[in-house]
Amino acid sequence: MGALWRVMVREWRRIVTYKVYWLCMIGMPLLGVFFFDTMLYNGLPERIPTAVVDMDNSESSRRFVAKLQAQQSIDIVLQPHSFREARDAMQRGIIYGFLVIPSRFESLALDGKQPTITFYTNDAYLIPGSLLYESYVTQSMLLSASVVEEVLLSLDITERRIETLLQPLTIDLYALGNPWLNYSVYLSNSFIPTILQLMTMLVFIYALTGELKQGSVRSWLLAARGSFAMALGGKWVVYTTLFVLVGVSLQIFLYGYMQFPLHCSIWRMVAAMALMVLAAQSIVIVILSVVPNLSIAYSAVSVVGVVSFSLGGFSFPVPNMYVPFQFLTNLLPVRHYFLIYANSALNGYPLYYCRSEFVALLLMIGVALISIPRLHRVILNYAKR
Amino acid sequence: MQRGKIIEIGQRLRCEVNLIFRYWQSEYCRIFRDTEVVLFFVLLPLAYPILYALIYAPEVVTNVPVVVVDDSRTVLSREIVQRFDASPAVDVVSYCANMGEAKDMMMRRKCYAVLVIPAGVATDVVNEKSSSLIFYTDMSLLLNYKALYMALTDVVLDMGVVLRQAAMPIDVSGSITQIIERPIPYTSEVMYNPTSGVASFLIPAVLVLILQQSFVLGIAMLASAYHEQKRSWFGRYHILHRLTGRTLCYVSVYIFNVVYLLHFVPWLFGYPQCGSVSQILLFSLPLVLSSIFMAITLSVCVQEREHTYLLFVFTSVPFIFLSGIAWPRYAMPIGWRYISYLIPATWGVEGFVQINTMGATLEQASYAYTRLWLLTIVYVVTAVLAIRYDNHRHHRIVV
Repeated sequence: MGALWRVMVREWRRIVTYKVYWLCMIGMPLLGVFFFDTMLYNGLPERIPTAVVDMDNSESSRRFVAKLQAQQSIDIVLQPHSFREARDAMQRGIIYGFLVIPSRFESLALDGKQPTITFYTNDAYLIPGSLLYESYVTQSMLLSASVVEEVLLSLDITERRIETLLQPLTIDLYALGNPWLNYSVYLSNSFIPTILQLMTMLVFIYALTGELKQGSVRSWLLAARGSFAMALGGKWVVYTTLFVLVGVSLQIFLYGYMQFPLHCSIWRMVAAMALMVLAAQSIVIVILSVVPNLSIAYSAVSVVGVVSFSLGGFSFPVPNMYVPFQFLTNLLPVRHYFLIYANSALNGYPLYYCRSEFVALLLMIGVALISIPRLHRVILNYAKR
Repeated sequence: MQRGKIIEIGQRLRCEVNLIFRYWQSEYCRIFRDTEVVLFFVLLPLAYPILYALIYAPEVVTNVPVVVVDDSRTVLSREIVQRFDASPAVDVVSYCANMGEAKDMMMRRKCYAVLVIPAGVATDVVNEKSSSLIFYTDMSLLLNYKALYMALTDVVLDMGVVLRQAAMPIDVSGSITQIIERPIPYTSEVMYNPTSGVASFLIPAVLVLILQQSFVLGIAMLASAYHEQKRSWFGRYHILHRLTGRTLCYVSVYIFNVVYLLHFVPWLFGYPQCGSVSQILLFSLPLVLSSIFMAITLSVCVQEREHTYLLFVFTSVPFIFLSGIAWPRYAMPIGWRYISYLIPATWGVEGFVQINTMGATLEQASYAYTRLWLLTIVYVVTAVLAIRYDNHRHHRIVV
């Protein structure tokens, strides 16, 4: 036990002397949280710049434009006279979409000739594009409904009946866990742990290989009385503790301060966080013990860390990816953390339903433990060079 | 007298150009002798786009599993389910007898949402009541939710029309029934990304970011090599010789990368590609230059090779968000918007998406284009200051 303690104290001294550790362990995760929570503060982008090409310019078309303008999600910044002008504004990036009201709109509508409104949305920017599409659909449905209402009223149908006829079928939506459809809830809970995973991996590989570079492997092993397990364990305990502390503070911030959904015991999320940190470090151990040189090891760690943002399946769902990628996602600790989060904190399912994720994280740690003797040989080899 | 002066100036100039060329040449050696720099300058721009393109290659969400609890069991309810299932986004995997069973399927991740059709759905409308389909959906992935909800909305609108027709009083004439079926129809044109694909919108931005980040990482690695060797390999070169030589060297190495990233990859994966190639290349010049000078400026922070990874790998994440491809820039808090102005990739993404994806001309993208040139000027100045600071520090260490 004394050996382990000595390595830990030695490691702590190293951390205190290098500023870069503090920057990476505390600075960057904090920056990540600050970034996402200020960036997505609104939850949804509101007042998307858009344009209306009103070729009719009648009373009813102007009324429609006014109603459109009153929507929270839309901001009509331009009223161009032609499609060409509107498209030019779109290509210049001034608007994210526009709506064309055809000429003779009012008279055709009154005659029951069904004039068609056309929306153009710019899906080169997918999020504003699709939100704009939704707003356009809603508004044109309301417009249709107002015409239907007028026709039905003229037919002497009771108002109650009209209400039913306007919308005979509706959807009662229960968006479980995130009824506000808030982007921040969903991005913070996936991207912030992924940032933490990236920094955990980079700092851990730096902590292990730094000894080689500074030629201090001998003193490191001496501090552990020659036991490599103790030497590695000492480092591992220190970095795990620090990163778990940082991770839990992030969780407290998200679930406590930001009031994001937490429908399970906080301890389950803490356990998931601790296992994710350990599993991320395990990946570093495995990579170091199989990869032939240090620059490849660093690159491999960076690739795993960065690709996790996409391969974690936070934006594009894993079941829709190509099959080889579906297998690869299982190798990412943060993927399992995310599934535990979705099942537990977001949806509040019993622990039983995320057992396989916990087992997967434990397995990763197990593989790392098996490869420790190999890592020992590898480190000694590097030290000889 | 005057002739002598001209010859003198000519010789000076030749000497200067010579120095620049010599430095340019020596920079190649530094790049290609260092595996990690080659990794960042060559392998990263080659491999990353392919990897990302493959991850997002399916473009759209299809066949999201859904289960149905049908308490109505009528022709109408079956019609609703059939239409819902027919949407490419939806796969109705099972009927469940009750909510308990459906919830169990959901907890086992066998399905992503539950559609409950209440018992009265077929008769309500005749009894002057509107009825609601109840839709429970998991919210861990917004793309899934969006695909499902849009499909369900379409079904409900279509079925609403059918129900309305059925419930109209018998004496109403056919023409009126037709009018109220769809009085003001709409059509929708999705522009510049016709399938609303994830890759088609995200990858062009990623390509620009990869271009910038490969400079940041590679140049930082070169700077660290310089620091670690603590060797003055610049001798009598003036800062401007070095800066010009390096720039020429990087630009020449990146001619291939630029064509590969900004032209070949979008072509290979069939992303929208409407712009003129020559304008894209013209646009990429200030993008490359400003990225180089920013990278040289940032590389002062790096003193050990490993710092390159520790400090700069992380930055890709905020940079891609600041570019506004996902979260529109106008909706960002003002502080972040100002910071985004300082990053070449922000304007690079904006202009590249405009020209390449949206078929704009360079004139239409002139806002981003001029901003990139402004950034180039700003970062030239900071790069010179950074190199001077670095020299100063280096001398101090040597002394």
